[in-house]
Amino acid sequence: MSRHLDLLTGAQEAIGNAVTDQASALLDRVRGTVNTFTQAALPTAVAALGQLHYSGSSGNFQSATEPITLYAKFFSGYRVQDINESGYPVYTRERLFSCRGGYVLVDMPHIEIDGALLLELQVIEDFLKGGCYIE
Amino acid sequence: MSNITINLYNFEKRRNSTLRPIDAGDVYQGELKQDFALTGLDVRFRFTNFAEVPHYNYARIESFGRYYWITEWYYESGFWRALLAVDVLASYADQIMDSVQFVTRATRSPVTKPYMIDPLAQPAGIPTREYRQIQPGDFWGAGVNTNDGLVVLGVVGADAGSVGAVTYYAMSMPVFSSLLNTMLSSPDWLNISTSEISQGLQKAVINPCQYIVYCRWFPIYSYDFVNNGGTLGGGEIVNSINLGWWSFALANIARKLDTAGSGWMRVARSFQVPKHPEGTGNNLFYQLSPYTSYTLEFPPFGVFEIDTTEFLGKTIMGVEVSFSVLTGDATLKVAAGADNNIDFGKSLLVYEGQIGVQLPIAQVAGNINNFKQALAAGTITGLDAVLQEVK
Repeated sequence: MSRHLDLLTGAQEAIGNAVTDQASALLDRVRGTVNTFTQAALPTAVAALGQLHYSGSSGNFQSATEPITLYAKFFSGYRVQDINESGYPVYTRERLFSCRGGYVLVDMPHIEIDGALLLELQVIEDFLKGGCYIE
Repeated sequence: MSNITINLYNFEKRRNSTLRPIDAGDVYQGELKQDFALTGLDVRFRFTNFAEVPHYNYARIESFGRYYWITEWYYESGFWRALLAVDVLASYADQIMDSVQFVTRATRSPVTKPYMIDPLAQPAGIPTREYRQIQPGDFWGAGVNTNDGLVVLGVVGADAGSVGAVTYYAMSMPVFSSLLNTMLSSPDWLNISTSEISQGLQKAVINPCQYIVYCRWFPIYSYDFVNNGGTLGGGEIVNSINLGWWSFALANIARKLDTAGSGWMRVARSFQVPKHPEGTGNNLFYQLSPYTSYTLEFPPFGVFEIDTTEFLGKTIMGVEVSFSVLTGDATLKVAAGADNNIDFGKSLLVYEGQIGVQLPIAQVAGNINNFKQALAAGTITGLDAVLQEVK
């Protein structure tokens, strides 16, 4: 019984394989035909595309009537403090003698004075850091 | 108690100042308390008129090498007592002035940075406005309200010197108008015998505008361009144009643009840059944003915000447009300069756009038939290849 079954199964497989092979061959031919068509047709069509051109359009002259303009807008500067009490930005290392006669503000002051007490040095540095007048 | 010589002053100075009195003041003998700190003294004075309140506010004790603020006067058991606090800025003024520090702000400094924005100066109030203009006719050379502009025509016609399949001609508007009038008023120029094709049929069948594939107006002075050529020169002066199978005599000369370079143009002008009225001296930073802003409106390229730092130390702004009349492709360059010296190689703005106005001609045509024919030809070629394989 099992042998018959094997024979039948084998026959089914044989028939199935034959059908599959035929279908596959047919698909290959279709695919090949499409390829052939495409390869032959496309270059001709693409080459002909170069002949496609347009001419004429509606333009307008508006932009050619407009002047070329440079606009400027100015805000006045409102000083929060008087310049004599706040100074101008300097941001440079320099000898304080050169700032004599006005306000000075120092960033990270450091000073060494022979004979000055530690407390006095700290106070001097605090003054320089908070702004003082070199006079 | 120990006696000490003290110079007393009625002295006007700021608390945070190195200022020192220049004279000797009034010299007194004071009595120091037995225990004292150098920075804070308690001194007793024996004034002759004890009923009078001492008016001194400042002191100098030479033996201590220091200046002192008098912070308080007390009257005690027939004596005036003064509390003194050391004035370090005056006491060490020479050493402070001799020190080198990183100065961030100063009223008097040989080092000025006038372009550095000062955060203590806030922009405020109602802004004032100024503008500088160049009229389009002054920039381009021709205005829209005149016939001075240049018409560039691209036609398909027999010409060995054409750019691609198209030959470009630059002409004035009157010449262009005359050409169209000649073309469209009568089909005589076709030289087709009316015994072969009636004139009515000629007009119905042949549309001369089909040979015109490019037609654009530029606001540049046509007389100069036609007679002298574009910026790079080139091209030849002609009296007729080739259109399709025919040749047309022109009412006046035109310039045949036989190379891409012959259609090249460069136009440049400059503005005086308006400056902030307060942006002088140490306030030059007013010429920068946010105190100042600049906007350039340049049709047809658009509207551009200009970085204010570009105009620092500069007085003029140059604008240059390079373009091809064969395509309308244009490049706008904006540069800042001084003393009429502008280097467009250092442009602050480079922008591309299109200039020129496309003029409508008799038809807006796309020869879609060619495309359809091409597709049909491709289909036939493809089918033929398939059939060959089948065979």
